[in-house]
Amino acid sequence: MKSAKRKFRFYDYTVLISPTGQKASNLKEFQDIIERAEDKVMFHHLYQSHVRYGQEIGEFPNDFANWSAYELEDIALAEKLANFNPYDYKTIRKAREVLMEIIEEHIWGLPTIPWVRPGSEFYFSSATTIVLPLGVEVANLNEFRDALDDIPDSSLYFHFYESRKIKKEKKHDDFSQWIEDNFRKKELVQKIREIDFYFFSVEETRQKLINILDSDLNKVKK
Amino acid sequence: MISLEDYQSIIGKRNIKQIKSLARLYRGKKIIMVNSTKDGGGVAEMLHRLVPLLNELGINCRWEVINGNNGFFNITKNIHNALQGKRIKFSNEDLEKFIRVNKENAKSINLDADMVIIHDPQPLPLVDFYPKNKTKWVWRCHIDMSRPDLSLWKFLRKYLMEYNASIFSIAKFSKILPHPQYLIAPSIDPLSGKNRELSSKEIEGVLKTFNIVRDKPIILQVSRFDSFKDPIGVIKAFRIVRKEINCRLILAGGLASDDPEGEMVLEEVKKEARGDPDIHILLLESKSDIKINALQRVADVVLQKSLKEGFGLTVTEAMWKEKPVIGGEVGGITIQLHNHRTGFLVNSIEGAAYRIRYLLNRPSVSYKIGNQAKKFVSQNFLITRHLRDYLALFYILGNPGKDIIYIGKSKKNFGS
Repeated sequence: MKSAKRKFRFYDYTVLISPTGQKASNLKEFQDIIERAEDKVMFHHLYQSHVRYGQEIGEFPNDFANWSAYELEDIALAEKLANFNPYDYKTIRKAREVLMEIIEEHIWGLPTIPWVRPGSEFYFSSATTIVLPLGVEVANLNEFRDALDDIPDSSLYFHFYESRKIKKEKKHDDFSQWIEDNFRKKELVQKIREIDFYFFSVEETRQKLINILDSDLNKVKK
Repeated sequence: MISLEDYQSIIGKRNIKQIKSLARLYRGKKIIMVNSTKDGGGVAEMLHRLVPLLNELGINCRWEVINGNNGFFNITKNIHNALQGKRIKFSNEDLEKFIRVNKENAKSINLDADMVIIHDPQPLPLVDFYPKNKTKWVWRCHIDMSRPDLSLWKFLRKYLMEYNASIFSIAKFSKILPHPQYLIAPSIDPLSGKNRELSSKEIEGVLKTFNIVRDKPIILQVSRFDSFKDPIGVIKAFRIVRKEINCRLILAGGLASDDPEGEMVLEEVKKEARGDPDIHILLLESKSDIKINALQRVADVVLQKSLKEGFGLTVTEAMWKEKPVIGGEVGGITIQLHNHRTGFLVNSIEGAAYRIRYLLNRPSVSYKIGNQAKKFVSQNFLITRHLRDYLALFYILGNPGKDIIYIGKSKKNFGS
């Protein structure tokens, strides 16, 4: 098994959520707060829902879509917000612009502004992230595959989801980047990059990655 | 003595390692926790476990309790109720006494530390009586603050403004404040007497003590005798269910030393039960962990029909024991129970009765929900996650203004 020029070091990730104290009781307030919210608030609600309170609980991939569906009970808006993929945009500014267009267009078509009952308001938050070494290093693809079974969800989320956004110079996830930099595995890299990760829970993404790695490593054995 | 390593079989080696790595950053620092009781209630229970674990990790953590007479605790109980939305008019004398007792406590409690964490409103004004130095003051609110009484909130906010940060259990309780706010959910200890596995001999022993026979389904609510826990509503819901299904109800709870209202509520509950032999009202002493554990393990359905709730640790405890739980749709219960997945949320006596019948008639659904509930708790509400959040908080407050904090290596080194 070929060894990498540089080992892959897994990092772990812990996050502490900070509520801003702002809340939206209806769709217009929701739109207004989103327009003015700090980038870190947008980042938290659009990207970090994947690691909070077990992703299996929410049906939709971000907080805005889940609130629209379960609290505002506007399923059409939830569907539109669920289909919006913030990873398609390079900056939070651009993602916010597109999101605002979706909400504005939706409000335009409504006869009245929908409200939620007291207690079901949308509460805006941001988060502070601490990134620390996990203490796991791998030198080849077999070791990498085995580590995928073992690393916590938070680590997998960090390398496969969030690191694309916090490292501006990188377009891709850390895993496919490492494989591309260290092994001649164009097809494997391609398959990893084709994972529709935003619509999967962290656990589902882990299974996809394992299946792709297993199939590639088995091919090598044959 | 339970040590951090003992949790490895439950949360895995990696999570233990993460906690140790985070703790290294704050080793040797001095932290003081302050609340108003050593016994009774969820706060004291969590501190009994968190304080020794923080010390084991090398953090110098001490726990102080403020003193007060019955008059003081009557006022603080009213403050607690008003913060949870009850309309209560406070006289100037009451508020002056509340502040005066805090001032007297400040004379005898040394709070010279890197961080002081004040739990709940009883010791909130302490901050006013200590010099403003390097110490970081954090207010940890455990109660349902979604709709506090406005005039009381304005009064307390003056003191809260002096703090460096606040912690709430869920976002719904947060307020617009001039300092950072953080969310830390409470937790249970899976190895404590209240939550560890019990032998059938231990369980039978407890049932014998209380003369409870397992001849029909058991519905249980474990709670302090407090009107916000709605024990009367639980009895009414039980009576609706019993028209269709022969079953027993156990209402078990203690009285906290900082809650003088409890005895009055207990009398009301006894009156409502009218001596019904299928309604067991159990007044538990403060060291009744094994008894509560056993009762939760024999229950077929667990209720927490609260009307206001900071978090609802009894919900978490029952979920950990794979029980289907029905809870009031309030406060922290809403982040624990998700309909049809980890339990049921209800908004009325009739709703509680309907869900009890639904679950008693569908044992396979109860089993599946119980199973998912345990998994959910193990991911989110164990003491080890709580410990990790506190360690993260210490570090974050020491690095203000940063959204991402890198430890160990520079960000360029991630991955390869």
